Amino acid sequence: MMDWLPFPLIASDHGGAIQRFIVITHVIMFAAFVGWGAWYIAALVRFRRKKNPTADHDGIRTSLPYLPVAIMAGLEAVLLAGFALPFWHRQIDAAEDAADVFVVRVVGQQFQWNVHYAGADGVFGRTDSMLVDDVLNTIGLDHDDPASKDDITTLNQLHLPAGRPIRINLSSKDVIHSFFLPEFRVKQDAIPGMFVPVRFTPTMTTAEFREKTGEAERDFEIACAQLCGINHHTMRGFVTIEPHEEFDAWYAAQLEQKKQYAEDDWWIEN
Amino acid sequence: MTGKKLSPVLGHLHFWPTLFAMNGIFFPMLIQGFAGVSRRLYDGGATYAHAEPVIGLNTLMAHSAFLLAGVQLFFVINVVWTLAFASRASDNPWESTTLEWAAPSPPLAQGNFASAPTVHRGPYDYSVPGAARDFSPQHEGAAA
Repeated sequence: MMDWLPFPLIASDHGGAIQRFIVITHVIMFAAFVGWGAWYIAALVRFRRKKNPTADHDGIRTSLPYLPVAIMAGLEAVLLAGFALPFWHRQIDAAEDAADVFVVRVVGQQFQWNVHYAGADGVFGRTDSMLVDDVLNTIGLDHDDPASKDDITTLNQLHLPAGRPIRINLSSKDVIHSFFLPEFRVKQDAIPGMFVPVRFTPTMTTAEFREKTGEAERDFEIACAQLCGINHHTMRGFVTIEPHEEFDAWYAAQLEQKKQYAEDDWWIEN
Repeated sequence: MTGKKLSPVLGHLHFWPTLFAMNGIFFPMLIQGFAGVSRRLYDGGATYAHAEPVIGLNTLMAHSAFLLAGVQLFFVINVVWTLAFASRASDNPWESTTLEWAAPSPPLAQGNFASAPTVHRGPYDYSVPGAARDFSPQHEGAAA
């Protein structure tokens, strides 16, 4: 439906529900626009000056206008009770981690997205704002914490396994950002001092996305959707969705790289 | 405020292109929004691949914005012309019934009314049977 509108492809399991809601809302708005517009024009024509040179003492008494008002109120009640509230309940309020949930931290900052993975132990290493280095350690990961040994961090590169429920713990280092993944129908403000869970399940791999769009270099994008400063418009990241094995291989390679850096450069630790 | 009535011709010349240009600016934004383009992007979305299919609309929006700015000239001309050349309007040029039309035109330097108006009737007394005119202002006594 609505293929002629320029919606992005849908790449998450809840994306279809969001899309339906957007389309239905706009169909109702369009119908209301046409309806009220027609009413307005009809009134202009019917009560035009030529036909009605003098005012009418009684005017027209009718309860007809209550009908469209009642219809609109009913439709809005359906939108709220039938779509918005159930969706919010399912997706946000009552959302729980699935057994095989994959948890990632994303930390927004002017003007980049920092990604933090917990590694095989599933425990995120300690972070401390005192350890933040704008080049070498953007999230302030404590390398002395044993839990951080298998942690990796990336810049603007969010790799995720396909078909697995994801929880992103979203936060911000400085100002309010908004973490926006158009193809996954995910948009959530990143607020300093808060960790906001963002749940979705990617259903399309990057390879499939490239095939569908016909663009060999195309990536899923992370956009910042909240004006956050002078370079807000450049705060772009990338999401790579891969099958499990490929994701694991990528993670292993990142860990290997981290080890090499640690051995090569005495200054990267501490 | 000035006791004068703006020119309807210049008013139409101002209104219709304004309506047209406003929609030329903001309707394409709705379309871009469907594609996921955010507001407040300094480069109009050029950074993002997902904006690419709809970024061409920026040109239309820019042209509409210039048109919108341009046609405001009719309003400026209208105001200046009215101040300079238009004749004085009557106290109640729209033949309306409510109390604000009891105020004299041009307005007094101090206060609203020359003398406190007395309300004789409801606010929508149009075409009262037996009245000479099809409107009977609230502040006029006998059904004039």
